[in-house]
Amino acid sequence: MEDFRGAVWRLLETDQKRLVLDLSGTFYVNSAALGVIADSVLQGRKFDQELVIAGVEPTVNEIFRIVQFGTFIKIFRETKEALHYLKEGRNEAQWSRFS
Amino acid sequence: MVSFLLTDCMQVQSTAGIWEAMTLTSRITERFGMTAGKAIRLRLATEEACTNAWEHGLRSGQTCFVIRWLVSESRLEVVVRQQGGAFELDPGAFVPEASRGRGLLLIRELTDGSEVRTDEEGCSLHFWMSGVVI
Repeated sequence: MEDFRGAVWRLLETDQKRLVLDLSGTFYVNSAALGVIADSVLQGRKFDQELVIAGVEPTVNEIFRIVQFGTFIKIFRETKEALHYLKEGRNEAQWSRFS
Repeated sequence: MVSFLLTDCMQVQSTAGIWEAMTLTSRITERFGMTAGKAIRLRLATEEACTNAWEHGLRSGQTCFVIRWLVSESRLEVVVRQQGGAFELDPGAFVPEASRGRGLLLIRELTDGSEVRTDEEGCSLHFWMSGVVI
């Protein structure tokens, strides 16, 4: 868990304003990992960074749905959809998000 | 009246024990023919229940807790018992952005049912899933 926390926080330490957390190949997340993700999204916002999540497998998306991550985090099934959203405009590509 | 068969029981005395309990849940779900989807739900519920009990124990000076797996014709039930304190399955308003507080919500939503039973010696968190093939 500390490795994951460290990796995400290193992502935030870059000077990039638009960031993608790619969870491709991840089929299991516990509440500790959910806490790391939520904290990271909120921390990024303090510095005008937008962190979105991509590569979300159906099992993980079910967990995200339960904890209502979609209410404050952009979640995409495919990484390219997240990149498109960040590159082309934040009002587009909503269709491709998980609900 | 549902009769249960005690399948396994272990005393968790470390965080490594939580991992063992998760592994045991996976083995039992496999042994009783549960689907992969149900198995992963129960594995996560096991982790969350054990983590909750372990963290409660650290705060109250307890060094271990007990977990049991019970099987009936209709379901697999997991029981995590801790001394003192209480699990809180419905802690009130849930804040999606919060750092903590998702564990018991996950247990409640991922399983077919869950409940807390208390007595003079402590409390037990029960959660279960149907789909057992005996």
